[in-house]
Amino acid sequence: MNPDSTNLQAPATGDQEILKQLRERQEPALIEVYHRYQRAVYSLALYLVGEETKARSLTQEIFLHIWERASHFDASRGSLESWILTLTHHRAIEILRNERTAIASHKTSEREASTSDIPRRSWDLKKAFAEKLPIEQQEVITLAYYNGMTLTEISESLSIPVETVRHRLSAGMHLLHDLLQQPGNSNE
Amino acid sequence: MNDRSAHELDYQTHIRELAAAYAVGALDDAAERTYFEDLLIGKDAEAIQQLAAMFETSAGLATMVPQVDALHETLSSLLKKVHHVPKDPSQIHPLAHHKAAPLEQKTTAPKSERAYVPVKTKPWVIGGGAFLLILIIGLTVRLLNLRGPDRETIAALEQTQAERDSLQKIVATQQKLDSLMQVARAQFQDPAVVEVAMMRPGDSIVASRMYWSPARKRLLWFGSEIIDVTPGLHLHVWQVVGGRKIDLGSPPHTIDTIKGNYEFLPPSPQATGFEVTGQAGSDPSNPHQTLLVGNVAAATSKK
Repeated sequence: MNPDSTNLQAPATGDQEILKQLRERQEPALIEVYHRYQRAVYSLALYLVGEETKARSLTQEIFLHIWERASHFDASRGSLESWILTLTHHRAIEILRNERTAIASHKTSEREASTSDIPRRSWDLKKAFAEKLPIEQQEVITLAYYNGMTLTEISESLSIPVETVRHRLSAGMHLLHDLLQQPGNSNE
Repeated sequence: MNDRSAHELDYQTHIRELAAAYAVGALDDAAERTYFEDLLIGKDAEAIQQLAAMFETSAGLATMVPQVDALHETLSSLLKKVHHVPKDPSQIHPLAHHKAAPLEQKTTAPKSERAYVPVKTKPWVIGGGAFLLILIIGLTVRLLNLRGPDRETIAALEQTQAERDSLQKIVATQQKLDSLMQVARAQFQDPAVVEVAMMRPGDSIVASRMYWSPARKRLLWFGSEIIDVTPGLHLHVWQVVGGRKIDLGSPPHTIDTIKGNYEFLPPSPQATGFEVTGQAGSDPSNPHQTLLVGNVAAATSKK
C-alpha cells in the first residue's frame, strides 16, 4: 500500500488545518487533499464500480463534494480520511445498487443467477485480516462492503436470518477495528 | 452468540451493530438509516464513538483494494469545476445542503450536484471541432473555386449552343432562299421563257413585264408595276394571236388595288403579243381602255 495515499492515523491537527483552508475555499488545500487521498478514493471507486470511466467520474464527484461541504465535516465522528472514504464507498454502493436495480428490471432471470455466484469478487482482504477473521465474518463484510449488499440481501443470499447477518457484520467489523489498532496493522 | 436475536441484545450491542451496518452502507432502508442518524444527533456519545470507530474500520477496508492512481486529467477537470462553484456556500444549490450529517447515506445529493455543475468540454473535443470546422470551410472554398470555372464553361457552352442554333436557322433559311432562287432562276432563265416588255400605248418606257412559257402555256405578270392609270378600272389580260385578241381573264383586283403576281392559263403557243385593258364598272358592254401592250417579237429572249 502506498504510504502517501492513506494514513488511518493521520494527525487531527493536519486534518483541522487543511479543513480550515478548504472552508476558506483555498484551492491549494483541495489540491493537497486530492494528492493525499486520490489514490485511495479512485482505487476504492474502481474496485467497487469496476469501470475506469465511472471511477474517475466518481473520484471527481467526491472531491467536488468535499470542496462544497467541508464546513459540514464533524471531526468527532472520524478522521478526514474516513469521511472521504466513507463518502466514496456510499456513493459507489449507490451506483452499484442502481445498476443492479436497472439490470434486475430488465433481466430478472439473470438476477437469480447472479445471487448464486455471490460473492462475485474474490476475497481481497489483507492476509493478516483474512487469517484472523472467521470466514463467516469475512463473508458478510465482503458482501456488504465490497458488493454493496444490504443486510436483507445478504440474508437471502446466504439463507441465514437478518439478525445473524447483522451480528456477524458487527462482530467482524469490531474485530477488524481491534486489528487495525494493533501496532503494525495500522496501514499495511 | 451469533444466533442471538437482535431483541435480546442490550442497548450497547444494538448501537454497535447499527454502527457497523451503517458504516458499510448495509442498512436496508432510509427509515433505518434515519433512525440511526437521529440516534447520533441525539448526542449519544457511545453511538458517536462507535460510529467513528466503524468509519475508521471501513476506511481500512477501503485501503485494502488494489491501489491505482487516478489520472492527472481528473484533477485538472476537478479544478475547472471548482472554479464554477460559488464562493459563498449559501449560494450552492439548496439540495446540496439537504443533510448536514457528514456521513449521510443519501443518494440524491451527488446527482443534484451534477445538475448545477456546468459541463466542461474537453480540450481535445474543442480542438477536434475546430479542426473539423476549418476542414469544412476549406473544402467549401475549394468547391466554390471549382464551381466558378464550371459555371463559366456552362455559360459559354450555352452561348455556343445558342449561336449554333441561330447559325443553323440562318443556314436553313439561306438554303431555303438558295432553293427558291434556283427555282426562280430555273423559271426566269429558262431558255423557253420569253420576257415580254409591256408599255403604255405610244410610250417606249417599260411599265411592266410578263414572262411567257409557250411550252408550258403559262403567263406570269407582275401587275404591281402598273402606275398612273385611272382608279377603279377592272383589268383584263389578253393575248394577240394572228391579229385577234383572246381574253385570258382578270386578276382579282381593280387597278387601284392590284398587288402581286398573276398566272394565266393556258395562253396559246402562237401568241404574238399581249395586252392589258381596263374596263369601267361591271357591265361587260362598257368599253375597254388599253393600258399596256407588249409584242412578243419585240421581246428579249432569255436564250
